[in-house]
Amino acid sequence: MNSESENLKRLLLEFLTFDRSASSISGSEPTLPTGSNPSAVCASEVGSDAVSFDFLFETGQSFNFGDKTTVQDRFHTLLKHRFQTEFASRPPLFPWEAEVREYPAEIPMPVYAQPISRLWLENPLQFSVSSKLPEAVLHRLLDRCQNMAQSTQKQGVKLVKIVESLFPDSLEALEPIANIVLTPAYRSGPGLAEATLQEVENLAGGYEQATPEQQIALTMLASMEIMSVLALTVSAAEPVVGRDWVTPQGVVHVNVNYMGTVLIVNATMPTGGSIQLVGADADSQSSRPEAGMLTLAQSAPVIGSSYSLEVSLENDCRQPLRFSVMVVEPSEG
Amino acid sequence: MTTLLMLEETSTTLVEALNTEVLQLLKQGTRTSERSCQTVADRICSESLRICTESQRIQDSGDVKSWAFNLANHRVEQCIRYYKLSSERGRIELHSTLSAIIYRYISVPYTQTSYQARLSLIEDFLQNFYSEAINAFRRENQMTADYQPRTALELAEYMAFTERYGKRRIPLRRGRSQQLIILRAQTFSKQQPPETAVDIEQATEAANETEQGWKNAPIQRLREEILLQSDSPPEDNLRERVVDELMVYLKEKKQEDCADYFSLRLMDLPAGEIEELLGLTSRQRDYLQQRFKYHLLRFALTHHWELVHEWLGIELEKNLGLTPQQWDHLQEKMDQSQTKLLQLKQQGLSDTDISQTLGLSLTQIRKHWSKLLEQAWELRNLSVS
Repeated sequence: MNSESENLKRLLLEFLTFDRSASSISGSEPTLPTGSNPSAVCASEVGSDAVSFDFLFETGQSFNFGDKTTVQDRFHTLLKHRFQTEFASRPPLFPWEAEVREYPAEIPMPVYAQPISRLWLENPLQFSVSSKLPEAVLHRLLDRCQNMAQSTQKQGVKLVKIVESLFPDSLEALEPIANIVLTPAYRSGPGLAEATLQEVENLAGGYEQATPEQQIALTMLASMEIMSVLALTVSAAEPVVGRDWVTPQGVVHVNVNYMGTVLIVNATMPTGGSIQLVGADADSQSSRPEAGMLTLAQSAPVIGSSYSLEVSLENDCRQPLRFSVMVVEPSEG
Repeated sequence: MTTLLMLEETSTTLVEALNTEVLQLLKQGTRTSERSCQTVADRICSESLRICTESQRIQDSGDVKSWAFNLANHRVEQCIRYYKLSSERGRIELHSTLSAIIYRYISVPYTQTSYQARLSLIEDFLQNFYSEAINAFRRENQMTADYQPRTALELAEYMAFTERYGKRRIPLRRGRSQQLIILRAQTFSKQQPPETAVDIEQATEAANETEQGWKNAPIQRLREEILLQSDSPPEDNLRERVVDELMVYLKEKKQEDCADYFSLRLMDLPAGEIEELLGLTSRQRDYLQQRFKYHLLRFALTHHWELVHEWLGIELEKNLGLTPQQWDHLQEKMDQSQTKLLQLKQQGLSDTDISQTLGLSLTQIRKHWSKLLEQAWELRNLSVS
């Protein structure tokens, strides 16, 4: 064995037992017999004791590249405990924070982003086309219809927008189908609806087994059904319009009465709840804790403008059911 | 064409299965709504799948599915762990973990850096690191530049990400690698005045590698991740064994504080810093040091003498590393029982067999043997000095 490396290793082990900072060596415990100060010997051979120590256990920089070792584990655990006590009194802030705080488990969803309450589904489930749809589809459809009811866009555009999120893979088919669905009733309306319904009913799996085109047609027909119920249009010639909406809690009856200078809205509630009329020039609300009648009045309603009538039942914090109320010239009605 | 189709089908099923599992685990682990867990689950899944897709090693393994699930599960566990700690305790945990990793690398070179001085440098450093981590998080998940965690789960996700990000292995030259946060800490320390020659070369190297890492972010990330998973055996197994055995020995002897002291010494910390870290006065530290020395000697000359001597290349077969002259001298000085003991040891008899042959207790045998080894050490030392 090469004597130089032999010497080096011997010195290295000596260093292991030698502490530069040692103030005294206790005589009561056995110590390694060293002929002289090892660091002095080291200096001539390997430069300095720090170097030899690094070499011995690959400490310092060279040590970093190794994988986790027992020593590193212990060292980290030791430091970590120390730091935990240290930082307990001054936890760090993250870049976006001004203070240390707890974070909420959930972000409350804004009302408009919430899906409409399922309790409003009961009514469209009685419609002829809507009832053929799976409940989940109908739920989304009702939600979309509500949001589109106020829109002044053309009927075809509305239909496309209502169902497009249901058929992301068939977007180009939507417009042609909407055109067919909207073909005036005296030419093919009821016929088309009935034919499509019949086709779907003949399928064992119903809606789920239908072709995408059939599904699109069905959802569009259902949308028209829903929107026609949600639209409450009055005029001087036809001043009164009413709707019944079945819910698990009972029937909500809504009645709109146009009296020339004032628009009266009555709602008969099966439980406590509230109604709200919102428009460009209106925002009125009425509520009651138990079943009974609620009334709102809007003086000088704007002809051709659309008002949103929102109905909420008690204990339902989800999105309300929204009707669209409109006063039109007699000729349009 | 058929194969391609099949592959696509498999991956669609995999994505769905993975998504379902991750979502389920998050919901169970955090008891929050599906809505709150969904986006976090999506991010965890896409990160895991991205690693699987980009890693040749994973692709070659032929078991992409298990890899994807393992990677995702690991991420979910980390996330839930931080979630359970909650905002304040979670950040203290993260802060402490990262501080422990970088502690030795944060320093003002050639200045006697004290514990307190290092601590405040660490806190400065980590503030920057948290910014870097949120930016990396946004970038890698294709989120807007102003994204910030809003819920407890999202905060936990960020903290888990930051820990993983810091621990990512960056490949260096000669097949070596280093954790990202350590490279950053080295660069940070380098910028601390005054400048010095120590490790400049290495720090520069690290900085260059880092720059490059930024440019090739996706490829780099993958390599980091792979390296993170591979366990290369330590270069010097014998040294590792000595260290490990000594640790075990100290624990067996219920010398936990000696083991702590040993780990700090191995990290080359000066006495003053060791005192601060362990909360000891210098007198207490001195006593601990003596106690450590005592156990170290018992380890080297009695309990694990063979391992230690092998490591030093002074095995019995090599006459304990003595020159022929020294070896003769040693034998001349030995009494009859020592000579006999040496012979039996050379024949490779166990201590039990030797104790029966010599009619001595095991303890006596070991004592005699230690004495003999000590004499050999003495002789070797004399020749040097």
